[in-house]
Amino acid sequence: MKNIKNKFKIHPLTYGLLFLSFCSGYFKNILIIFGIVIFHELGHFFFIHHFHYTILNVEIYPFGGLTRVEKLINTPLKKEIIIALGGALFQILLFLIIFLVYKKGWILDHTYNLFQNYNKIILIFNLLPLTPLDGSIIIHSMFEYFFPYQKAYFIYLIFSVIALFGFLTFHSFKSLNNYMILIFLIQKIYEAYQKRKHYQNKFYLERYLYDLPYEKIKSHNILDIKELKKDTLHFFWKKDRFIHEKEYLKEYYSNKT
Amino acid sequence: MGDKMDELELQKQRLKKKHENNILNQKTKKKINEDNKITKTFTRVLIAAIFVLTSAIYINLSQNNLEKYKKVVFETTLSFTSINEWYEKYFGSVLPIDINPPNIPVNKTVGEFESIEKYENGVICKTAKGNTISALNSGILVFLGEKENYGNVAIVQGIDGVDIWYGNIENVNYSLYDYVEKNALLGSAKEDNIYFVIQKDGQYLNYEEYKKQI
Repeated sequence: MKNIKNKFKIHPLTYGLLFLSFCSGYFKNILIIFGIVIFHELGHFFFIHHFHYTILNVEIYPFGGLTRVEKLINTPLKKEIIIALGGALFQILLFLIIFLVYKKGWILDHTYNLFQNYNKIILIFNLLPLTPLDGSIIIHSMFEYFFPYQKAYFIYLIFSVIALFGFLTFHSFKSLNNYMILIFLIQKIYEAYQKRKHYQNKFYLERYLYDLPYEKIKSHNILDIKELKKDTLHFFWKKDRFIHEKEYLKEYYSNKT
Repeated sequence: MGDKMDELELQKQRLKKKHENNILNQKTKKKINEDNKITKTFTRVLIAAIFVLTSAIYINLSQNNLEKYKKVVFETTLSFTSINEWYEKYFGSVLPIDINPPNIPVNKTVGEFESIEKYENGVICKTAKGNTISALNSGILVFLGEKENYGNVAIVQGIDGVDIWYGNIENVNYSLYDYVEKNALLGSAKEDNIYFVIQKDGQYLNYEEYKKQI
């Protein structure tokens, strides 16, 4: 709650969109859209604060907003899903609020329809399984529930690319906005692909450095680092006894050097 | 084996130091940011002051200037619809979200009036108090208020660049700068007579000719 002014950024392109919208007469439309986006980010903010994580920044782009949080890669899956759904939850709350405001007569038909339509579209868009939208975080967490980390990440990348093609087929190529959204999504998927080794190393390092709260325990017969999975504590059979995963990681990294 | 354990412990400590260094760098960046903000606000205040003073000097030079200034500030509106159309022709929709216009009550039969007579710059039509008035053409609502000789007026800036004034109207279900569809229910007649004025680029057009055109 402290330095929230420093963390709230508006991308310069957003100002361009605002100016263009005002010149086109779309005052109410654009303010409603960004109002909904801000309320959505507030939803994320609420749950992030609830779990005592810190927010790095909240950036507002022309097509929406992104909240960057300082959390471990090894965050429990339940927390990840709740934070990701937080935005959508607040938008559902917004449906109710706007409905009550309308019933009281504080806004007219036209504004009410506009609000509800935009709210619905932004909600559906955010739940699509494209990086880095909220829907993709949920899908990624589901993969990580069933598969070990490396495999889950690989499947997630492939799934994102397939979802991107799906998105392409549904969207028209007439408007500049769609091209920009497309470029942004492609950029983010490429970034996720480039950073895979970095995230993987971070994943292992966190497990070595910190005592994380795991939900399950699993044992393995083979010494294979690719078996490491989120929310699970692993034991590996080595020669004549089970070793803790931290021991195995230490050995793995010392052997590397 | 002991050496390797120490090595790993050293690596741990080095990582922690790196993390602390990153935080220190962020703090110096913050300070520079704050200085930049002060200069930014100062230049903006200065630019605003220059604008106000030049406007005051311009107005005070001659009576003609004052009238020109008043006209630009109080009577002209930006042509939203033409900017919108231009942009949509080359770049697609302005807003990142494209939705179909909502279902609004539409008056298909634009009722015939009992009499239509010339009045000031437009026409006066006889109807009954409370009768519905529907929009002649789609556009953006740019003005809602009282106009001399026309009572309570709603001005819609049409998508074809033609401004239509609807005089003696009440209960307008739209607010300023909303997009109004053609034949949509705009409001109801305040009295038995309502006014129409059709204007394009300062020229007043004929009501009946225009109606045939759209």
